[in-house]
Amino acid sequence: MEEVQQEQPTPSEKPIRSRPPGCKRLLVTLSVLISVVAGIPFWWKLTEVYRAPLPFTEIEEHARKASNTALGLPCQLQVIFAIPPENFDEAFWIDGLLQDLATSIHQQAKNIISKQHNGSDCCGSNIGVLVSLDAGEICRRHGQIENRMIWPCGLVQSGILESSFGSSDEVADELLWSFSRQSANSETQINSGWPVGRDGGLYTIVVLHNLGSDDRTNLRTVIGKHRHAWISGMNLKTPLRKEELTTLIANVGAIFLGADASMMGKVREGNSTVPDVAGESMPLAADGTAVLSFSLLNANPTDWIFMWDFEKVEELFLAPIIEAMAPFAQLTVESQVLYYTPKAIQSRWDAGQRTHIVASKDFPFFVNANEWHLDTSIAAAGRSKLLHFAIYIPAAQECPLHLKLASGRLSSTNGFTSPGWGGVIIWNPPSCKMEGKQAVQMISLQDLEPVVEVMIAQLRTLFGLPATSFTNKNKKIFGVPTLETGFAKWELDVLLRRRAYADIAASTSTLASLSRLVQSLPNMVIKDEISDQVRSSLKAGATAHKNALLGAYMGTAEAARKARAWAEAAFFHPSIMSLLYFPTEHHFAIYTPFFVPVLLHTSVSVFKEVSRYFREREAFLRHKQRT
Amino acid sequence: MQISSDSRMLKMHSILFWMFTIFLLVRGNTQNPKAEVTLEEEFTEDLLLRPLPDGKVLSHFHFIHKLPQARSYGGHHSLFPKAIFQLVKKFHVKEMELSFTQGRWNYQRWGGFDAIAAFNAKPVGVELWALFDVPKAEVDATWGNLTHALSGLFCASINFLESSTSVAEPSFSFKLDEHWIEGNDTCDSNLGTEKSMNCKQKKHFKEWQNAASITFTEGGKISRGTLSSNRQLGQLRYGALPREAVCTENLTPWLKLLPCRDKSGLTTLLDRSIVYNGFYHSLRLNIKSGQLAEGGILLRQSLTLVLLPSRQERNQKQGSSVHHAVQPQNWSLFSLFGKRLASGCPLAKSSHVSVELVGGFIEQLKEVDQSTIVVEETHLNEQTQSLERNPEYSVDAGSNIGVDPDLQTFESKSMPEVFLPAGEIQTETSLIESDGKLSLGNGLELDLRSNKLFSLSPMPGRILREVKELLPHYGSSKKSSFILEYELQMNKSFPFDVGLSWRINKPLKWSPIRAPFRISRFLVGSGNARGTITTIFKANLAQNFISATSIHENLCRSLQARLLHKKESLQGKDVEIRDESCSAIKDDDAVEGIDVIIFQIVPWYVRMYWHTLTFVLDGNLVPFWNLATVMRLVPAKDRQSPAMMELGIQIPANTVSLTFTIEFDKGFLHIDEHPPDANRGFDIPAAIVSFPGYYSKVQYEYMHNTTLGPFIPSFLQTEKKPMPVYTEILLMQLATPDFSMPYNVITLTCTVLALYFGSLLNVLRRRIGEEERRSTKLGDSTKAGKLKLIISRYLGKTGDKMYSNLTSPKVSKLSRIFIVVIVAVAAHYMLNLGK
Repeated sequence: MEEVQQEQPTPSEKPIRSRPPGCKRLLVTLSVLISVVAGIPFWWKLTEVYRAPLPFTEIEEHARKASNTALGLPCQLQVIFAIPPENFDEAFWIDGLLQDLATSIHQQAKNIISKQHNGSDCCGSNIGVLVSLDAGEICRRHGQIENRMIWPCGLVQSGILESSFGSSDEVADELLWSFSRQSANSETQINSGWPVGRDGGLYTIVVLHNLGSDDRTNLRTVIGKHRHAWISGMNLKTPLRKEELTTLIANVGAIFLGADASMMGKVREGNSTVPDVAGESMPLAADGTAVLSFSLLNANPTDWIFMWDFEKVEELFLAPIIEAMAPFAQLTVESQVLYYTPKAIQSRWDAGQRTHIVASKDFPFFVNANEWHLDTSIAAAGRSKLLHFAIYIPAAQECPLHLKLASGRLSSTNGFTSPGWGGVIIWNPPSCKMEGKQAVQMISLQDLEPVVEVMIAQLRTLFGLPATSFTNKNKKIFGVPTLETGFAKWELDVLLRRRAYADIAASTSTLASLSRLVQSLPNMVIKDEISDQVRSSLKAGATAHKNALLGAYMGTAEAARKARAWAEAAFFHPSIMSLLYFPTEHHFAIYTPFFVPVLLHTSVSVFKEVSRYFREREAFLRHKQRT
Repeated sequence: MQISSDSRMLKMHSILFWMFTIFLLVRGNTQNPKAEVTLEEEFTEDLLLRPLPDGKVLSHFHFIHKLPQARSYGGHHSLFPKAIFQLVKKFHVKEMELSFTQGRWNYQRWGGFDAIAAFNAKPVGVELWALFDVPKAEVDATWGNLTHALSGLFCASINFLESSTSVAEPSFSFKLDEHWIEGNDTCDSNLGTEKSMNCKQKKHFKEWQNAASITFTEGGKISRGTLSSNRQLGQLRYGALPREAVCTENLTPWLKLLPCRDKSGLTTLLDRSIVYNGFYHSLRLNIKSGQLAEGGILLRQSLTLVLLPSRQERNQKQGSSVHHAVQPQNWSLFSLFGKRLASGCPLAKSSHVSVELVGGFIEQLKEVDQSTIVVEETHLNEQTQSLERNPEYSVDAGSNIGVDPDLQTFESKSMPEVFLPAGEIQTETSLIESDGKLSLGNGLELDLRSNKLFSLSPMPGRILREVKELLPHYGSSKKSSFILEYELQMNKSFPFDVGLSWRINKPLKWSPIRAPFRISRFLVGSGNARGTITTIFKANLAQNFISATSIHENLCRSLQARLLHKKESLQGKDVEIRDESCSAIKDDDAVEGIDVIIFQIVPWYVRMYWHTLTFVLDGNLVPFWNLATVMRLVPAKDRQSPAMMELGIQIPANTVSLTFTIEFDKGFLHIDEHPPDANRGFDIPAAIVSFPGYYSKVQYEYMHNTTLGPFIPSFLQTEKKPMPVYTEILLMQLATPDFSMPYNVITLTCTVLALYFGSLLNVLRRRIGEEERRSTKLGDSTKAGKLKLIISRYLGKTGDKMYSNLTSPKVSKLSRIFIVVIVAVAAHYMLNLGK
């Protein structure tokens, strides 16, 4: 610059030169600049963190697919009209009637489902209806059911109806079940290529002809503990009130599909303070496991000490339930007895009821987190889920302790649940008298039985089912109680479907969050492992969809579970957690001391050389012109 | 699982069906069948109080959980903590010990050779060792998981022990008792008592040496894992965190494992501020699985505290703190803990409070005031008294807790020959009823109820006296210790307090039972390059150093006395008496010295020079292998494993001092390997010095007839263990870098490089000739450049007219400030933009 300006004062006599300006130095400075510029991509590559490629488009596509088309697990309703031959009226049961009934049941069921529930875990769109007429030798069917074991005709001929339906519901239920089994066994040999878990999703409703008058009082619906129900008290001989009949059948069907209001946890037993959470999440860890932790809490062992024989309880009561729930939840059981565990709130004496009372508004404060060391389990690793069942034995001074519901009644179960956490049950010693200090007493199995039943009911509530087997007195729908397992098979189907849907939804949302996270943090290291896990998750998700189309319940649930587990594993990968703190100041501090002086030197010299070159060239050109 | 009983089904059905509609009936049958009560799990609590020579009081809380095998299926327990059971099952823990310690155990003042010290004197910080029952390949992974589980359970950073850099695999030095207990059955064939004992002793020693020497010969090149004879090698892991701070967050989870937590029972005494203001505090958790007779799990929890009684109780007698000779301090539970015991834990099978009066203390009492001690006629000396106790009333620890097979066989097989019939003993020694009298031997006894020395309240329920063992119990005093026992379940007089107040005003001077050597370890050398680790053994000659030979002499004398006695009592019968036993012992068992095993872990960044191991014995340098009997070295691997030394030496008898040194270089650490606050230094875990010949096992017997059934204080229900002594923790200064160094280096090198680059570029580019030409052509007058111009202007000289017209100094100053501000704002904006 100096030189340029030095020459400015004498503009009149511009310098001239005879030789063309050399470009040796120009080339030197340019080559330095070029090498610096050429080094920039290399430097960029060096400082880049490793990011394994993630299939972003596939994730998006998967998410879109999951939100648009639900996991299409099919459900099928099989309606059998069983009419004794002597009461069969050929004229009435014309062919068109069956078709008519089928379409109208289908339509009604869809309506109910869409009204009650906007989710897709009730086989929303994928419902098949088969209507069959069984009147002795006459057997007609209408409708299409794929890959399923439909009940054969001959229900009327088998004589089951006469022999059983006079007796109790349980017997009738078992007889129907054995009938369907017989038929299944006879047909298995013929169609052996069915997918696994084929008996899920097919529900049978038997409509029985009643000889009596068309009196509505006889109308009665019983839901069995397997996958069938029957409606009795309907006169099928006279012209039907078709609308009423189809509505009734569709309602039962909706119950089977898990779309009934009570199945969604909206109507609950009054003893529960639970808001509606069913269907959204089950109290399970990502991999489908949960630990049921049972604690016996002796509030004040100086009064009395109670213990239990939990091994027996587990063996007799819990093991069948856990086995039954195995398809969708891997549950393990552990127990402990704790002492000096007072509750966190004061009870008050109710003279009228002659008992100590805890009001329903105090339930949320009942659990004493300071003194109840319910603890997490060492046996369960990682992000596992614990469900606590606390059996609280009150101190002597507040011995008959009862929970008072909002309605003013005493709770019949003397327990309450807290969604996602577990349940609390109060067990009052048979007699509230202290009988000799420090005698350790064992709670007998007879005494424990009701407590265990309440615990099972609480477990059902926690999983989003009604506390007891389905019963609706207004609609005259009764459920056959499930004894050993606590869950009816169709209820397990509902849970399985819910879980599969929830898993798929969770996996897609987790993957979507992961992809958003990864895209928003360019500095984050992504290992190959994460990429692999994401791919596995997507693959499992696709398998789940494929299985769902085939109607394979177990396969779908398993694949959905894997999809979620992989997605969670990817999202919670430890390497993601340890995102390096690499602030901008750091970049400045590291790169400024070298790059600024070097670039300054280079650019200044390039500028100078270039400007000099042009000036000199001008001078030379002037010289050339003169000459 | 199907329950097929019809009646059950029906009943269940009815219950289920109605359970939401029927109110739970309060049943009439209140009487639960008592037969169902099968509480096989057992929990006991114990508290031992021991006045210490320096006026402090040792309080030792001990809790034992026993879980028999039969109850361990399924993991449903009523007392045993779930967490521990799951821990044991999940990680296949065979044995494990975890300790949290604050303060250093004063071996000289508080004793170093009794059962309490052997198990509860622990190094500062966290110490963890575990023995696993898994294949060797999985041990490291299991250890890692265990440390994580424990750190979660106890709110401590035990997970730092996961990395292999701080974990060692000891072979023979650790858990030495295994070697010593195994394989002594063959030795009992020769029947003579003293012979058998000798034989056993020797065999033990041989065995130990064999086991060890296998290591050395096989691993002549000193490598890891050559000791094939020890099946436990490779399954044991040891790690210590000397820097871990211990506080209430560790105590609370520890208490949570107790059924009564701190709600009732002995733990109610534990006021946090008192516990953590004490002089020593050690939480211990010991798990053994498959160790009970029927298998199962044994969980021991203990808390050892050394506290000073509060000032109110110490009253006027504010003693001068002269070493070992202080005014006797009054103390009581209240003065120690600020409260009295309100109740026992209702879940404990037994709750006891015991007061231990150690032998040295009793002896001192005797010296202080002979007049208070009643002289009783008896012709038996102390050893024979202890031997001739009535076996019926003795606390035969071996029978139900499987300890000390030596003693057991010794008694059961050999003693009947010399034992007198029970009836005769009773007539002669007149067992003292629980009347509060301590028989001090040599016919002296001390009445606890009325003496001029001190008053004790309340009176103990039972009194136990230490049985002097014939096995060399090293360093024990001549007098027996006494345990005064209070059973809390029986004692209805809650609140309970026990205390001792003095009637005399004389200083008492006595010593606890000490280890044969006082051991201290320290660093020698200056600078950050190298140093020496020095370990000094100084013999505790003063009072209780009884050389091994003298023990044997005592033994012989007692045996002879007993035999004589027997001869008298069994007159006419032909009894073979071996008079030569004493000489035989002396000849046969020429005791050369005391066996010592040193176990030491050193982190890899302390680079040991193993060839510099030297011994200085009483000031003279001695060749290494003169003393060393066996050695196993595992050299460190950088950033992988620490160096480990297991060294067995035999110190000659009558040694006064032994110095053991080893030199090292200090290594350099990467910048990210330094812990926070690296300038504090690096803690090197304590070395463990153990005396394999001598055990912590003590036996006690009742001094009187008891109907309450045998009681063994739980702190005595210990396995035989060689006496360990922990040395100090070393704090080593390494060359700590300046942590801003990377930036400094970057700045410096970049500047140098940039300078080099700039000048090189200039050299390449500039045209010296052309510039010179131009400067000469233009002349000097107008040569003053712009820069010069500006400088001159700033200096206030008006230079060129052209510029002075346009600008004034004020404007230029303003513009300068303006530019600086713009630059600053721009920089700030850019930096913030990046965030």
